[in-house]
Amino acid sequence: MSRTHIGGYGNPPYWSILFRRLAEHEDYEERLDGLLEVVSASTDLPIVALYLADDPESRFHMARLRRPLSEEKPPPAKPSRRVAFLGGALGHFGQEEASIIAYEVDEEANPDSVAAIVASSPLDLPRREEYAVPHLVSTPLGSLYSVPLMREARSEAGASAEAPQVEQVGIIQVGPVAGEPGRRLQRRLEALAPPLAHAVALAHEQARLADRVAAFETRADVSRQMLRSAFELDEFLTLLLDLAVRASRAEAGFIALADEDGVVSLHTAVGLPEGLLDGVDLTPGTGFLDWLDEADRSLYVANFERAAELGLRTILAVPLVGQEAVLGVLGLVSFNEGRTPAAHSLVLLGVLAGQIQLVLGNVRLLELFNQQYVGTIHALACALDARYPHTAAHHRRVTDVALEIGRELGWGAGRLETLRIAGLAHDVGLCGIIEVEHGYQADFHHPTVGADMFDVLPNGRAVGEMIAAHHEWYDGWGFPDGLRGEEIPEGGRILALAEFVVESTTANPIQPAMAPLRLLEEVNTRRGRQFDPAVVQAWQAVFERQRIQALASGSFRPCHQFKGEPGGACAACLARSANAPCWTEPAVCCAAHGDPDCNGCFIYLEARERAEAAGQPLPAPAARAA
Amino acid sequence: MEYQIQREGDVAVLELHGVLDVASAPTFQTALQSILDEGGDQVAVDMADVSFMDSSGLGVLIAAYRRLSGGGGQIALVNVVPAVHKVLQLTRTDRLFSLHDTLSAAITALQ
Repeated sequence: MSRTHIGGYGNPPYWSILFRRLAEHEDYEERLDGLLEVVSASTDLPIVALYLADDPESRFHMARLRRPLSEEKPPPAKPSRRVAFLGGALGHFGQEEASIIAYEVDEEANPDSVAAIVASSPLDLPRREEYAVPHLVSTPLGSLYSVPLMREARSEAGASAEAPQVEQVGIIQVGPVAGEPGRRLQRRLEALAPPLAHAVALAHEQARLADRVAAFETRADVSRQMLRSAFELDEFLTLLLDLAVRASRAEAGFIALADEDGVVSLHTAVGLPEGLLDGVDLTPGTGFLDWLDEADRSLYVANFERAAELGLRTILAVPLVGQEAVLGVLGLVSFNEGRTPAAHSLVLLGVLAGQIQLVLGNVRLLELFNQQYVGTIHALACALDARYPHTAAHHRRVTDVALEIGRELGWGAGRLETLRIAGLAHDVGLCGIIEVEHGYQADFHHPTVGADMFDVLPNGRAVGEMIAAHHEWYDGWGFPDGLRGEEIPEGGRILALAEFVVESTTANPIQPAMAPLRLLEEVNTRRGRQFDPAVVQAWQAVFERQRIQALASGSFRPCHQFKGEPGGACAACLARSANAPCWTEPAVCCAAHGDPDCNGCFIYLEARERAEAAGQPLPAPAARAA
Repeated sequence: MEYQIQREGDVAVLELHGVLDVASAPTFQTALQSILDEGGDQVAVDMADVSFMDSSGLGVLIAAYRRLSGGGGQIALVNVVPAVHKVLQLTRTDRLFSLHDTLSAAITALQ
C-alpha cells in the first residue's frame, strides 16, 4: 500500500510517528497508551477513547481511555510543555502544528473519577452502521467525535485482488468537541485513522500471540514441574480426579493404575470411604470389572451384585488407555440416589479423562526414556571401571557405601534413589578427559562433564548436582567450584567420603590399600577439612556396625563384604590367588587389601586368635606383597 | 425403574423408564432375561426415558449382547439421550450397539 497519499497537506507523517511510537514499548497497554497520546496531541483534544473488536463479528469493547488528570482542571489552551516523547519524528513540526500537550492517563492518578466514568461510559459498543462512519456521540465526558478504524482485511483464499476487503478493527473517539467538528480536526483524523487502525491491530495481534505463547510456556512448565517427582504426579492426579468427581456430580472417585503385568490396583482416591475397595480386584477380567474384548478395551461392571454389596448406587468406570497399553481405570461412584450427571458434564469428564491419560502416558514414556538413558550412562561408567584392575566395580562399591551413609542419615527412598543413580555414574565424566602424558590425566572437569550428562533429564538436576560436587571439600579447597560447607549438596558430601573410603581400601599401582583402623584414623583427620563431620559420623556408625557384625559372625566374614567389594570385584582383584579369593588366606588378603602392619587389621587379628585357639598358629605375615 | 416388553414381528421391544444404575440393574437383567428365555434374539431397547446409565447397567446390556451375538442375535438401542450416548463413548462401548433415532428405524434394521 502506498502511504504517501494519506497524510495530505499539513498533516505530519503519522505512519512513521505511530509505528515508532509502537516500537517504544513491549507492554500492550503501554503501547496503546502511547498511540492515544499521539492522537490526543495531534488533535489538541484531551479525551481519547479506543474501542477494539476481538474478531470481525464481535462487539467493540473499550480498550483504553485517556482523559485529563482532573475534571476541575481544564486542558491548557497553550502547550504546557514541549513534549519530547515523539522524538525526532516530530522534529520538523512547525510551531503551529506542534500543539502537543501531555495529559496524564487518569487511571492511577484519579481513581474516583475513573470509577465514575467507567460506571457510566459504554464499555461495550454493538456493531452498528453508525459506528462504521464518523459521527458525534454524546457521552458522560461530553460530546466526542467518533471515527471508525478501518484496514484492509488480511487476504484470504478466494478473495478478489481487485477489490480488497476492508474490516473495521475498532473505533477512536476524541473530544470534547462543541458542535460539529471543524474541518481541521476531520482532516487530522482522516489522516490518523488508517495508520492507527494498523498500529492498534498489530499491537492487539502481537498481544494475543504473546498470551498464547505464555499459555503454552505455562503448560510446558506445568508438565516439567509435574514430572519432577512421583509425589507431584500424585498431587496432579488427585487434582484431576477431584475435578472429574465434581464434573460428573459423583460423590467419590478413584484412579486405579495398571502395573507392568497389567494388574490394576487403586492409586488415588477422592471421597472414598477408607478401605472400601480393599477386597476388590480392579483388574478387568477378574470379576468386578471386565473388558468385552481386551483389544478394544470397552469397559463395564460385570458384577453389579458386588457393586450393591459395596453400597454403591452408581458407578461409572472409564478406561484409561495410552497409545499402546492400558494405563488404568478412572472410577466415579455415588452412594445416593439422584447423583446422575448431565451430558455436558460427561463431555467435561471425557476431557479430564483424556488429560489423565495424557499425563500417565507421558510419565510412562518419560520413565522409559529415563531408564534407558540412565542405563546407558551406567554402562559407560562400568566400562570405565573395567579399564584397570584396581578400579574394578569402583562405581558399585562407592554406591554401596554412599547408600549406607544415606540410610544412616535417615534419607527417604526418593533421595536414596537419586543418590544411587549419582553414585553409579559419579565418575562417568572421566570419559571426557584427556591424557596429558605418562598416564597423567586432566580430570579437573570430570564432575562437571558427568553432571551435564544428567541435565537433559527432567529430574536429572538433583543427580547432576551430586555428581558435580563429589570432589568439593568441606572447607572449600576442593574442585571444580571450591564450594564449602552447606553450599555442597549433601549427596555430593556423601559421595566424596564414599569414594575416598573405596579408593583408600583398594590397592592400586601407586599405593597399597589402607587397613580399616588406618582408614578410620585417616578419615578422622580429614573430618571438617575434606569431609562433612555429620557425614563422617554417619559413616563411622555404619563402619563400626559392620565391623562388629564381621567379628561376631563366627567365621571369617569375607573381606569383600566388609570392605565393600561386591563379589564380582574379586575376579579383577590383584590379590586373588590362583585357586581362591584372597580372603580365604588372611596373610594374602591383609597384604593386598590394606595392611602394611597386620597387627592393625582386625581380620588378621581375628584369624590369628582362632588359629592359636585351635593349636595351629598362623605363620607370621612375612610374605606381604610389595 | 419400570419397563414394558412388546413384540413387533420378530423384534422384542424393551421400553425402559428411569435410571439404569446399580439399584435398577437387577430389574433390567430380569427384563432382558425374560426376552432371551422366550427365544427372542432381535432386541430393540427403547431408552427415550432413560436419563442415565452407569457401568453396571452397561454390564447388564453387554451380558445380553454377549449371549445374543454368539447365536446371530442383535441388540439395537433407540432414542439414546446424549448423557447415555456419552457414557457409551467414555467406556468405549459405543460401537457395539446400533443406535437409532426412532423405533421403526430400529425394527426395520433388525428385521
